[in-house]
Amino acid sequence: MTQAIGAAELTNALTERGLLPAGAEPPPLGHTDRPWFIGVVLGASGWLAGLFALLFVYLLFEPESTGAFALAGVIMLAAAYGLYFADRDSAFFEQLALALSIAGQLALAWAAADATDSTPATAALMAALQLVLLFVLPNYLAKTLAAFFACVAFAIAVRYAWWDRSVLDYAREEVALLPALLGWLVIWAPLIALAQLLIAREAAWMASALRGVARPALNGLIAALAIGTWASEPFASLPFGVTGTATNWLALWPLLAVATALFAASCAFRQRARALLGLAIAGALLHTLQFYYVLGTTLVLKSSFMLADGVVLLAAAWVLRRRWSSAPGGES
Amino acid sequence: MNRKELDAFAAHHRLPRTAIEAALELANAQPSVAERQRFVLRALQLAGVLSLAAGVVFFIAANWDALAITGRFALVEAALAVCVAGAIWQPPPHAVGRYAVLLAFVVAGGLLALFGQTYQTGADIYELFLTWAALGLLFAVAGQWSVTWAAWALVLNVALLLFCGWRAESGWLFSLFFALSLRPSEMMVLAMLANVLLWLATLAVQRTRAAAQAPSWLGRFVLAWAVGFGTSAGIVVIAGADYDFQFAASSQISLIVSLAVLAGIAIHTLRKRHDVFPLALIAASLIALTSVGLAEHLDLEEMALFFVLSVWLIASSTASGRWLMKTLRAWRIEASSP
Repeated sequence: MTQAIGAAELTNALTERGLLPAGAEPPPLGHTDRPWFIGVVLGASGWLAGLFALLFVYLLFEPESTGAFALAGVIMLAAAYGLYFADRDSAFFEQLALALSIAGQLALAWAAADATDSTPATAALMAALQLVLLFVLPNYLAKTLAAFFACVAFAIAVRYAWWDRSVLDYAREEVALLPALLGWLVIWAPLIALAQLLIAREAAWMASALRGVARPALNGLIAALAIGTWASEPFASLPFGVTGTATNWLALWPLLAVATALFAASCAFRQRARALLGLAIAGALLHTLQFYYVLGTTLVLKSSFMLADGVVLLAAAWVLRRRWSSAPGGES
Repeated sequence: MNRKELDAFAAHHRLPRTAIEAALELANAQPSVAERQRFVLRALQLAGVLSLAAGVVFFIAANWDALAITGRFALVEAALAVCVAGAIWQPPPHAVGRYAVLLAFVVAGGLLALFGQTYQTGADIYELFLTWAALGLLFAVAGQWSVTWAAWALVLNVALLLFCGWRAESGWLFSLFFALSLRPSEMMVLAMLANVLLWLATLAVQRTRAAAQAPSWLGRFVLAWAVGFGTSAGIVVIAGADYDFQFAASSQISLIVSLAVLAGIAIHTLRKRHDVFPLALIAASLIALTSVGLAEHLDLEEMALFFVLSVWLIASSTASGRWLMKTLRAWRIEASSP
């Protein structure tokens, strides 16, 4: 996956092909070469700082009403927006803006939950907010996080709008197979299609101003397909105290999420994004673990599903290997 | 060039679609058909093998009453025998052999779990993972594959995590540490040192003919565990949570050793001037340790403390990010210059 070519060499190569005018200069180094693990350090610190900032604001102003929380959220988001624009090259302002943005979003989530008293409505409002932030915030990391959380919020909204129950309800749900499969498709099929479309039309949007939104949106989408699927059944992995023996086919969702994570891995591979590829592999393994813990059907049945999956996947690999090795220039 | 750099490149030159397609091709930014086929085959094979392994583990955990004890053992041992036979038929590094050994490694863990479940050995859960890691070392060596080594390292670290985190009170490892009167933070430091040794081993293997078995991601994986254990040890000491009542005076030795090991990793990395990942881990660890230190030792009321922590996190992460990027760019320039 290594690409040795640099900006200067690429500029020269395009000039030789007549796609750039003679004497074209490569772009200066900016923030574009930041590796993923430095982004993780900055992002995690920004998130924690945002949490502490929210607690500070809460203790300072002691907002009690929905309106007060909403006002605090809007002010912090506006401050974050201003800081992002104030100095785009300052790492300190970037981190401060990220922390304020996260604190503002958490305050608005609190306000939405307080106002609606409904899990799906709160999640839907947060999904809408994240979409707005994806287009409005002028920062790559903030946009990527917004895309990721938009997918997660959308998943929670559909899940709880369809099967509305308290997250503290310990009686096991009873969900039939067909609605469970349909529910999963309604949530994740559009996101899979969107990721596929963005990859297929990459060159087209790279040539337009859309690249500023499409790239972080695609990365956020891949991350959501890799691990965000866990969020659509957030409490199913913690079955402590759950009672009842009803069959709940939502237990299949983690298995379907493994397939989604493998799709995310293929997207990451096509984008040559090693960090996302690693995340997708970790996501597939974690979903397998989640499948073990979710209640709804028996372990013997789950075991049968896994064994059948294994046989089908290995058979598919064998068939494809034979087909491709017989094609000219194919895999050998 | 990564995708962000290509985006910046396209924006800088205002490239049309045709030029971008050429740029993607020249930068080798999109995998070829052959590369995609290889990826699909490997993904299907690995996912298939791991699905079979998970199916076996689920089956054992189901404690299926329809089978007698002998039947259950016979089934799992037969699965293990098939895997070993597959590995002997097409030995690693052949793909069949590698997948067979990986599957055998997982099934061996299932067999140990079945033994503990059937005979109620009373063993602590960490002992299962530790025995699995000890016996599985043979499979890891035989597999000659980074994926099997990663699975082995994961099992070993789960054992260490369970031992350090859940206050195990039985087993040979407990007996050893109990005899040495070690505190939890000191056990975490030992877990850190074990992972540092593994990291050094991956670096050593990278200079041999077996380099493919220890790719950089495997080294990063064990190093992340090492720094995680070291940071946890430091946090336990700073937060005063070293819950061993046998000792009145709290020792700071775990924190000092953790910091010394982190310093050693940093010095080694700065001398090699190759990969900034260890430095990023150390930066994250120091941010965590100093934040806990501030929270523990600053005599401030809650509101002021939250403000200070927020500002400290922003300032420390900014400074770390700037230094890491500066180092990364300097090393890249050195590496590209003749």
